[in-house]
Amino acid sequence: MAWLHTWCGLWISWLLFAIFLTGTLAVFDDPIGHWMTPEHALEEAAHANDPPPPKVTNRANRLALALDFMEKEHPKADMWEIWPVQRPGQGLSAYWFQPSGGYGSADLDPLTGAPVEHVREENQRDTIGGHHFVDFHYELHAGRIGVWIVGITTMIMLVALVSGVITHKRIFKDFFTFRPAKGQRSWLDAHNAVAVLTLPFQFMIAYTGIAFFSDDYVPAPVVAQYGMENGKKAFLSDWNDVGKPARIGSPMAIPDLQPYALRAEQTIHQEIRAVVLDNPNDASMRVCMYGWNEESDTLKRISANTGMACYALATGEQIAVRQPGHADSGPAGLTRIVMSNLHMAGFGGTPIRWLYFFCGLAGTAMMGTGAILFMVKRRQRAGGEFGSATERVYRMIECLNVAAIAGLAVACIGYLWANRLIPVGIEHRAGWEVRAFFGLWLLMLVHACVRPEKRGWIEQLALLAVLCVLLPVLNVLSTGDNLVAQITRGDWESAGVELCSVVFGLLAAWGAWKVHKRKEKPVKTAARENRSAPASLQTTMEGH
Amino acid sequence: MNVILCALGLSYAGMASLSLAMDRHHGQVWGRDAAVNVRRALQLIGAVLLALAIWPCVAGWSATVGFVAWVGFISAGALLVALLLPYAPKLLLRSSLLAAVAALAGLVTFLQ
Amino acid sequence: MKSAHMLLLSRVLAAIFGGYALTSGVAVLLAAMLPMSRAEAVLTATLSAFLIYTCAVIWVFAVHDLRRVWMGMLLPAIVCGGLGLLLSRGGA
Repeated sequence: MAWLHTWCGLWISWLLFAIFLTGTLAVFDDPIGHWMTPEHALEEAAHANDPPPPKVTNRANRLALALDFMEKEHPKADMWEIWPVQRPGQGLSAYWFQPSGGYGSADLDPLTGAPVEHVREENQRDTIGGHHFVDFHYELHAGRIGVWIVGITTMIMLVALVSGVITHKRIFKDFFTFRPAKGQRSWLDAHNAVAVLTLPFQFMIAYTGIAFFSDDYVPAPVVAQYGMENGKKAFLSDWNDVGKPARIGSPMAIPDLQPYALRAEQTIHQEIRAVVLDNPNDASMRVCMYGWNEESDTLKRISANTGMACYALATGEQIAVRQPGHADSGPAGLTRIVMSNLHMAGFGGTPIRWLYFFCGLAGTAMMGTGAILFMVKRRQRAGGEFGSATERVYRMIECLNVAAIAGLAVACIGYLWANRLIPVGIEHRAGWEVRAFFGLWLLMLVHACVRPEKRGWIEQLALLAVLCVLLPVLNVLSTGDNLVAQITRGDWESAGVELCSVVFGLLAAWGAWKVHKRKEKPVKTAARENRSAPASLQTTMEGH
Repeated sequence: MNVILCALGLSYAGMASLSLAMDRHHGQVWGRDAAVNVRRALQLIGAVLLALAIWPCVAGWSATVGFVAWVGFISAGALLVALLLPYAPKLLLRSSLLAAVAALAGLVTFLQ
Repeated sequence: MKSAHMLLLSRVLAAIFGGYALTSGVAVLLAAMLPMSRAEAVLTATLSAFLIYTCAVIWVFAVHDLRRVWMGMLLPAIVCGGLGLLLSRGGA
């Protein structure tokens, strides 16, 4: 079992470290995105003291305009979705399913119903902001293949977690044990402490993470129940779109939808967010009204589901209602929704996000300390697990450790530096920022491979420290905005990003210093003694 | 804010108490093993403080969200204790006593 | 000398592929058997799958006898999967 934990853990440690660090940063993807769009942030600040816009009173009119637009431009679409009063900004939007698949969307002028063209202002930088960390975290910016790689890695993580708990015989005795400055002992203590003390979080985050794509990873029951052809589509529609009526074929005009919106608001006690019209202009027409979750809703409930009320337009009767937080299909559906929101910390407000941030950092540290511990142990006493290739494999693992831990962190802060350094007007600017992230990471890998292990750590941690600590300076030089000004005008998102960066920088500097002070012990090589494969396998099978 | 301080204070103090019930950590503060009745007392106090931490969480959020928050707070409290024990055990003792008193007093605000 | 490597490889394959087969088989049976609507049953089956897979892998490495390991993966996979397919409504 220790063998299982060691080898499962090691091979995924580098990728999983990246998934965890980016996931932890993704908790604050909006503040990071805010910092990364300084022009937008300053504009927001300039309007911060404007009086709030008056409450919208012409919703009925907006609905009518949007319906006219859809009638003219997309009459054949079998689902029309209207957001009569967007947040923020009180805009009017329309969405529909395109025949080629995927959503189409248009923003409309609330007074005339004419489509609004969004022209990116020349001075606003194009960026995906903090969403880069989200996208990398769940799909490595690699689409379906990325989702599968992350899924497999997470599955192995679950095995590593369970085998780790089984292996840790003294889990209660050693619960709070951390003995610093004792070399290998300290690394093991640290690994155990960050893992055990946040164990509920680690299990939860891994399981809820893999559950997102559960029907992709385990398609067998979907296929068995819904068939091979379009089985997945049928399943999703069955689960999500409970009670969608089939077209009848006889035409029917779309009535005024405002009374239905008012009825829905009475029933679900939420302001209407979205109006979804199924089978428009057909006698089977159904309209579903969805509500907005207010902040008080997110503080009370884990499920992100909003209220919903559906009406058959031929008869006017209410055919379905869902109170906020509940699920349409039943307890399994509710579990799935709760799992998603548990993973994304979409509830409870800022304090919960900070708790996730610290637990996420603990999980990241769990992987980092594990990978480092593997080599610290073997530099004390080589294990010969790979026969004659052992030393080369150890060297490779050391390189990967430096690149995956320090190097990835450099790439993350480097992404923010790229945001300030890449010229504003260039084509595909957002793509260049992401390329800078990957390019920097690759550079760190190369550096880690050509430098001796200790120097690799010191140099990359030092670089990390410099980039992190100087981030606020970079901001001053590139935008003229500074930390004090941010705090004074109450922009705690930007200030938070910069302050956290400085703290991480100081930690990195401390780390570089500690590595610098590290005393090298003479190495005992068992590798030459253990040339025969079965013997080395036996060693590894007995213990890690 | 009250909620966070109370929950964190109780979690931290509770975990500290549980840790000091263990011989190894008792020794870090007092230089000797814990006597049996002292150990029982510290375990009980720790468990009670941790359990009490659910109160501000549920009051500040809701039953479900509060439970999740509570798990987060006790994890955070445990991490703090594990970090302080090797470096500053006396500080741990004093600060956890302070935290317990302050947090228990703060619980009064949730009485209405 | 090679046999130790082969034994280990066999065990790893049993864990990865045997475990996945078992997971899929049990999931198919759950989806067919659970007294809920079709969508709910499938959802419950897929959500439970990762717990089943994790336990299967742990078991593969906890049991010494390799023959028992492979039997333990494939037999339930075939039995549950087969039974589940027979009980399935519509679909395949």
